[in-house]
Amino acid sequence: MSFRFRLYNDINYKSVFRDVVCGECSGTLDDDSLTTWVEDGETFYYLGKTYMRNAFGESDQPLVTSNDNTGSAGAHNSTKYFPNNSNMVIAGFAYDGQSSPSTGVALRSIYVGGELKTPDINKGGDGLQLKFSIYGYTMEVRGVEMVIFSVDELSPDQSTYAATVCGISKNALEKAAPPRYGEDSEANEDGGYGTGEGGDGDGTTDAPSENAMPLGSGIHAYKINFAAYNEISSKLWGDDENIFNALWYKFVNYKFNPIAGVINCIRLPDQFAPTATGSANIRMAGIILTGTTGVPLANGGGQYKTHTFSISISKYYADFRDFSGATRCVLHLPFCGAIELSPSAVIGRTLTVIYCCDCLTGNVSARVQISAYPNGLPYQGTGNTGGYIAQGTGNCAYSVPICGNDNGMGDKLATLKTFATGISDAVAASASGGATGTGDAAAVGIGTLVDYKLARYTTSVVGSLGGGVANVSDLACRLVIERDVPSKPKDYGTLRGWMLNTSGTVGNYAGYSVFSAVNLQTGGASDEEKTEIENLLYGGVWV
Amino acid sequence: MSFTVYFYNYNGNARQIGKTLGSSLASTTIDRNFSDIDSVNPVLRIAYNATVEGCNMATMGGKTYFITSTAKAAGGQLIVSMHVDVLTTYATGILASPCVCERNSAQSDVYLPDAAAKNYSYHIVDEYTLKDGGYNQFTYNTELLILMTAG
Repeated sequence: MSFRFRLYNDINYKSVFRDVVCGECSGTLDDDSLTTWVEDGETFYYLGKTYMRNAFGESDQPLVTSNDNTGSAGAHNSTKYFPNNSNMVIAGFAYDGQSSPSTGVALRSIYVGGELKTPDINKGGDGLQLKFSIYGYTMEVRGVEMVIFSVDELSPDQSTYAATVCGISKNALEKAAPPRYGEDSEANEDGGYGTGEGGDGDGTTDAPSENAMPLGSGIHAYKINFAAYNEISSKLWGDDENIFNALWYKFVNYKFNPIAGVINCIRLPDQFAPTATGSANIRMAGIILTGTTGVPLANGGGQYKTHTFSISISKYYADFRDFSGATRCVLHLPFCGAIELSPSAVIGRTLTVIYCCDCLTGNVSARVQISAYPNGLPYQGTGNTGGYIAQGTGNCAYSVPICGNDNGMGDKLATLKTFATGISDAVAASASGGATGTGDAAAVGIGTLVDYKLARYTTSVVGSLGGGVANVSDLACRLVIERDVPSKPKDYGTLRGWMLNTSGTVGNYAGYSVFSAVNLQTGGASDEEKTEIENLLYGGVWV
Repeated sequence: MSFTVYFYNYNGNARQIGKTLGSSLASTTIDRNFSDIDSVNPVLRIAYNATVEGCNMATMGGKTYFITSTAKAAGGQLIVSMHVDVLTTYATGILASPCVCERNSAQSDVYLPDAAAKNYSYHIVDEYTLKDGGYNQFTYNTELLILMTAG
């Protein structure tokens, strides 16, 4: 089985550092960490190697050392897997070389926010079981398993961070039911957490299949850099330093007009760089610009690219005002505008925005996904699974023009033709004895030579510089939450009571109470008195 | 038949169910049947008693009453007007009555909207930037152009 947990990069666990998806006996965290599951004869042990990148002034230093993990069964006594001052450290280690582990088998340390947590340890018949709850999950470690993961603080300038490691074997994480209202919950204190999954629950980005456009035959698309862009323009202007090349391109531009083959040229955000690889000469209108290359997107991995942003939003008031009209949420999506979201879709959940870009056009969709089951809320019914809740669309590209020039070749050739015709006519007239005709024809020829000098240049431009306001807009996904500021009269609850809406008998509600329904058991009271009693109970009494 | 009226000075909340009145400060006997008087809003004519004039509650015939007013009358008498305190008279039955409690000062469900809560006219505005583990925003730093051609 695989599981997912979420790592946070600030001390309040509000900013998602990275989603980590782990499979059995392995963990992955992009290329920033390394986990190793070691089987050494009969002894299973774990060497979790956590690498830090420029954190604590060091580079690529393992946080986790093997210590004495190499002993025989029951002798795994590592105690310092992580520095205790880490923002969040959880380190668990369990070893079961026997059916009923006895000595030397213990959870070494669980630190959450620097605070040592005590797990529920059960040495049952299935081996050692460690069970503890964090962020709405119950983490269980049984038998020959262990889990270690660590999160350290992102530096304020976000230039450095400590990497994270995870390792877990069979049991992984079980999603715990959200705590009922009134129960202690870490999530109540620390904010909301989610699975990061929604909709179909697989956590995938649901990107379109690659290259829906049939590239490589009639239509070509290339990822090019600025040097290639300049080369294209040079060749379409025919100003190659090599005179023959220049003449050739001028001829080509006139004869074949390759610029007519340019559909568009756009600049995209770095995050949408197609992953296609390879190199090919650029082709347009049947002309191959030899030596000017780009990465053909027809190679695959080209047309669509996704990029994901996410955040977890904690409860602010931790009461009804987080979800009522007292809280208003607007999600600003670069290129796509703003979307107003229900506070119930935001507060206590993890919000993920998955952009999908069509790299051929710059069209983007931004799909807003929320996690399921906000923690710390009493509702435990069915539904509430989260998933995709909104979408925005827009365009992230700005157009870059492609310019070409035929150097007036068309007019020049026409002029030369006229000149040649004049000379030819003069020669013909001379041969027939018409002196006057000779003079006229010569005049025509000279005139066309003058026209040759004045021949028009024909410049073509495809595209224009611009295209929306993509690159000058705010390029970050921002969630703006506006909240009411409550007026808090002293002793409000004592004097007015808090909202409750539960049933019982009047005697169950000591203190000031307001009742909305009552079945009076006051035998002997007259109707007039019962009416008065009801009115008093509905208006508020002291029990 | 007769019944006795006991007078008290109670300083607690008038809306308290089952008031504890303490010791009576004065008493008097009425030479009538209790069932013959208006048990909800009785008006008694008793001999003037300055202590009674300063009392605010009374009990008689197994019921508890608010003294709503007192007035001196001719002949050295005091007219005492009362209204039954149903919350104390029927306290046992009320406390045992099934009910839905809408508000309570000791228990709460904080996620139920409270229409009585008041807010200031100004607001808190917070901005949160969604993270992507990198720049946390889109960038146009690299030389990335997409050229699309035909033919």
